[in-house]
Amino acid sequence: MTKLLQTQGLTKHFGGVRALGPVDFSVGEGEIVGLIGPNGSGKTTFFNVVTGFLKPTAGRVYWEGTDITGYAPGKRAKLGLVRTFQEKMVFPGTTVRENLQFALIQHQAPDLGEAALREAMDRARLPYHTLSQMAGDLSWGQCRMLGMVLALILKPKLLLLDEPFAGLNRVIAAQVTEMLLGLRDEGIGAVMVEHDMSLLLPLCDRVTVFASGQILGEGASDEILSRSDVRAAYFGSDVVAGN
Amino acid sequence: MKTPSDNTIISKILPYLGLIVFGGLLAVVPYLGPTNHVISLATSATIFAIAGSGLGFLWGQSGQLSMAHAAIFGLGGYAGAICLKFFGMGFLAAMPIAIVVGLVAGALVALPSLRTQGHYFVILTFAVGEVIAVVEKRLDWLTGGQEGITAHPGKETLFGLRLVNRSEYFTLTVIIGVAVLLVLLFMMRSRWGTTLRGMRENAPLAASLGVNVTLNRIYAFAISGAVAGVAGHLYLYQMRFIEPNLFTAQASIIFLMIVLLGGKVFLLGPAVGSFLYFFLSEFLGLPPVWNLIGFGVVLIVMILIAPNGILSIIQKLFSSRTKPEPVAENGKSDHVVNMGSKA
Repeated sequence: MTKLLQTQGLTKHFGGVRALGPVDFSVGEGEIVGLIGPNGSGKTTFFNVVTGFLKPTAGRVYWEGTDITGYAPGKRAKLGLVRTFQEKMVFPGTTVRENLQFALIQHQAPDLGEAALREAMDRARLPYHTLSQMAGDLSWGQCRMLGMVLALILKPKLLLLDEPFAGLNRVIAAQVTEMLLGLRDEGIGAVMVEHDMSLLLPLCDRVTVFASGQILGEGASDEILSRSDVRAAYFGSDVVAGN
Repeated sequence: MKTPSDNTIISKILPYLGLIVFGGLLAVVPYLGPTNHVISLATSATIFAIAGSGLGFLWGQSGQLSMAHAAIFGLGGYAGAICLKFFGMGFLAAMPIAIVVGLVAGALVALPSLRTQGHYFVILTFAVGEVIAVVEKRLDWLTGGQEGITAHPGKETLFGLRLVNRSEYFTLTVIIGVAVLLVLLFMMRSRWGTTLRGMRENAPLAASLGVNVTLNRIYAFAISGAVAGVAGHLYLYQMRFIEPNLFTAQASIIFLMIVLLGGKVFLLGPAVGSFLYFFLSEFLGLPPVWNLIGFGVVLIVMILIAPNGILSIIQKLFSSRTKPEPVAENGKSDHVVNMGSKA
């Protein structure tokens, strides 16, 4: 499988604190990888460094074999490396229509008209009448769906999803799952940070476990979650001992 | 029967036509018999409206506030004055130079945004503005220092309008003001305008969707600076004199005030704010210090009850009287910025 994204010795220090690394990680085309680990284990920092929002202290990021370590986030997005955010999912003070048009413009879509918008709205499972609503007035779940669609409009090769199920009810979570399963059909890869294992694991080809800024283990979900060191890192050694 | 495409074309053209008609009506006001003092006041208000529109574009569309705007406004004026003093270049010949000076100064002021954002960036622009004012004072050989530079328009005319005639100069400032607003309106309604508003709302998301946020911030600053340059050049020929004390932080605060008063997200917001500022000051006739205190109180009240300015109140009143339209399935796009609608 061709490596889309690869990191070598990726490290990030904040002052004297090592928040990440060194991390060697790779994702292939169309592969869906789950990133798990306790809070503060470096997952979001890893996302921020890979997508260019933070400069690494050391190490390199490669995209289809090209070193993109110095690239700005926007340039990486244009290559097909697109991320979503845990909370800042949409442009709240503009209409849903303008949110979608923003993404279409960045994709250099020739048409910003009704057909393109209708397609995007269908994909986000948003009622058509919300087009003229302020995005900030949408429900949390609708914001999440809209945020995902904004990213998908760019036709990414790899999506980095930061807790896509956070705060969602079962209905919307099922819609997000359906949308993510659709990625596979379109050949879009994904790296997902998520705490809800019941939602994450069925979607993933493999799981990578972060602990203290480093990769503790990688592999198929059953195999990796049966490891005692992983369970201790994720759930705490007391819980594991109690089991 | 109208087709959806007819509606789209009309909705696209209407704001431009409205602006031209509004400008046309304003331009003939001097011929209705106001005093020279009122005309002079209206000219200053128009010039500040132009500069304020540049700041409003920057702040309202891209979400960046600059406190160096008065300094850039001054640089536009100095560009014209220096061109006249050293090279004998008149109003029209020096105008492109004032625009370029404003454009470059705007871009340079934006450079710190590469490393600084938010409140710290605003403080930085404040400091940059003060540095420019000090330089204007110190470069005696070029700027005339505290003495300043005088600039008499002579017999120059533009569109048949004599610069030396106060009424005709007002008409000229209105024509140039409308031209500037048409350009800003075009930009606000363009794909770039949508990109700027996205950056304003959520810069990290904009970057994650492919936008070079830093570069676009610099572009927005440059455009805003160019508009301030035009206004500064107009101000030079209104005052017929330029000196550095005209462009200190206090002038930047006045720009900030007129933008806030009218509404930063509205194209006509700064113009409304500017005319209110100049004519209310005149009407109240308070000493300058009390005038500033009075506007300070007005600003506090505005921020508390209508942070998007007077036009937002009018918009609310208007929209509460009209029934909400059914959501369009007819090709109508709100990828536009109407004069009275928030962007």
